[in-house]
Amino acid sequence: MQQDESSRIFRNHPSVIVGHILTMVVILAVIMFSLMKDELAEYVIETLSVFAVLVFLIFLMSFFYWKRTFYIFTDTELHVTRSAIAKTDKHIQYTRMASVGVSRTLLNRVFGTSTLTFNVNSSMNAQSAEAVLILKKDMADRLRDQLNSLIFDKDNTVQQDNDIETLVHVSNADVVAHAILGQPTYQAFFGLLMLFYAVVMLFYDNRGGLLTAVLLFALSEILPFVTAIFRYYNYRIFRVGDTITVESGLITTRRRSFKINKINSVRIREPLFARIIGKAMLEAEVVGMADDENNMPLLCPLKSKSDVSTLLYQLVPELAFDSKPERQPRRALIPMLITNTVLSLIIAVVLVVLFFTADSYLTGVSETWVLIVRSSEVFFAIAIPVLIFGHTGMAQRHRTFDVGENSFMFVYGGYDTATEFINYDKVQFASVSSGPLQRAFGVAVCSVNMMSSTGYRQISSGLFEPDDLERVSEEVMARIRDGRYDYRKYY
Amino acid sequence: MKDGKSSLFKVDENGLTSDGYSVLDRSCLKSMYVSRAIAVAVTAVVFYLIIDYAESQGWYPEETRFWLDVLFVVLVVYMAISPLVFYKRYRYRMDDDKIDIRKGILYITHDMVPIERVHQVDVKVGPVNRAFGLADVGITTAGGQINIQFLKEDVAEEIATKLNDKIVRMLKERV
Repeated sequence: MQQDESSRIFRNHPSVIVGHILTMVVILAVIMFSLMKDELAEYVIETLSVFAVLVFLIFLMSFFYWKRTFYIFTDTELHVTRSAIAKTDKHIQYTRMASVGVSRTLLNRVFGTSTLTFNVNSSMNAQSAEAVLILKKDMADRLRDQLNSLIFDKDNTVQQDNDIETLVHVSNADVVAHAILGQPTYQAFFGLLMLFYAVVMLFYDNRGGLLTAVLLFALSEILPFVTAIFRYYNYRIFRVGDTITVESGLITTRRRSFKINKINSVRIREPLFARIIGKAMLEAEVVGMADDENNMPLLCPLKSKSDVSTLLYQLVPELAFDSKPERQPRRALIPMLITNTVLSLIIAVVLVVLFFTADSYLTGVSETWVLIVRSSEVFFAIAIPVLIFGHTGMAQRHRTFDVGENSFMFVYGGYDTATEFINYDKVQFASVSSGPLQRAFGVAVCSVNMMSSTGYRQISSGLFEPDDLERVSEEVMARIRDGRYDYRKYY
Repeated sequence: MKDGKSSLFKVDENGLTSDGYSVLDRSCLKSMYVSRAIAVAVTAVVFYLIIDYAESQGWYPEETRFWLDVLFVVLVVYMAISPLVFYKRYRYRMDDDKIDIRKGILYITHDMVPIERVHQVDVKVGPVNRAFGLADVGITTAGGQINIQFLKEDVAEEIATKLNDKIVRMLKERV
């Protein structure tokens, strides 16, 4: 078999071999230097020879696989065939494809290539692409033009897609704001706590503690901040027919397209600090389209709530509906308060006991350290119950529930809230459950399970009348019975 | 109200409750008690080995032992009572298009699985269940798995076969 663009038979660009070799060189170098750093100086020639032989073997393997792997795009399916050590034939029906992604990494730019990724709507392989193809950029663009009509019934060329106005204008300043305020509150809080701890360690000249605190601060705050900026820079989103396309990226640019029928749910997420300044973000659950951190794909970085709401209705009117939501009943507050009182009491008692018995376990340490530990115990004995009750108050205020024609809505969370519109037809099964306290006050929780970008996911409502919550599963069944659910719509 | 609730568990000559649910066979109690007895025994050995070692090292004040013993007694009492409650509350029903399961000890749950969403059905028999001729039916959807537990083996096989037939028929209709 030979590469033949006119017959839509492709082979990866040879740069894929360079990518493999570079990756393996780095891994081998790390392994060899970490395992044998003391012996390396003594056996430099031998080490380098082993290194060279291993790299050569990897080159041979990569070349062999590259030469014998072909991607054939027929009118109905993508056929990946490889006759290397084992023979592999993979057939991916276009109807089963959830999304097609295009990305350009630094290596892609050096070689003038693009990486195409093909994801199937399946919970089994949700976290990794079913097929990855690297082609010269112009060839990849030509193939995408053809795939647009084959997979997405779109007549647009890549050039025409580039000229489409984005549905929401996201400035790079918005992206920076998103990187700072878009993190979950607990993560931001943990980062700030680590920063405070680092300052204390610096003050007491404790290098080990300082290093740990700085590392944890970097992992929880700096890394997500930098990653978000690199990922969402130059953000654009548009919809052509039933296909939504999202593109962004600073160094590695990504463009991913998916059909509207592959969306299970859309979610307006409002972390606490973002909500305080009236901002929200829009995400979608699309199976086969998780990002590198396995988060839900972002449809809109942090913007004003009105912008996000407008975008929701423009982008996915099939799922959004004007809601007159049912608020969590006031009586639901009582079981929540009783549970939280018990939990807070246990935590406070443990911390108070630790405070009064500190002399027994803080032996042989400096007075400063004793002061830090004891003041932390007092601080957390007050702060944790305050946070728990604060969460209850916020949850009671925000939790709502509503049912629409094609979807239903759960608003959940406490400090960070989310408004999620869930397609009835994507619910795999539903449960209504209640604990003894909840039963005493006539409330229950509804949980729905559905496929997600990371396997499967459960979404739970607040506390509502059990009969109201049962409407979700009744409507799921009613749609199956009366034919409003048509499996062909989701192929 | 009390009568209404208790009538939900009255079984007719076909083994069904007034709202069409099936209840579990009493032999499930034996299986649950045996598995719980094994769990309690293993927990007790591990728990008290750790506690004795911690006490010998003086890791916590002696009076803590009293509260740990209380905790263990509570656990044993829960293990003793929970199978009865589980058995009393467990009900399941398979219609033409859905499976309903009502169950729970402290938390009562009503699960509803549309048969249209079922991908796979299997019958699972563990060593304790096997000794009492019981089995679970595992129902897998793309959104996770649900089990109908502690069924008589022949009932489990019958349910699994019926479910499989329904799924195959549905898939054939789609071709």
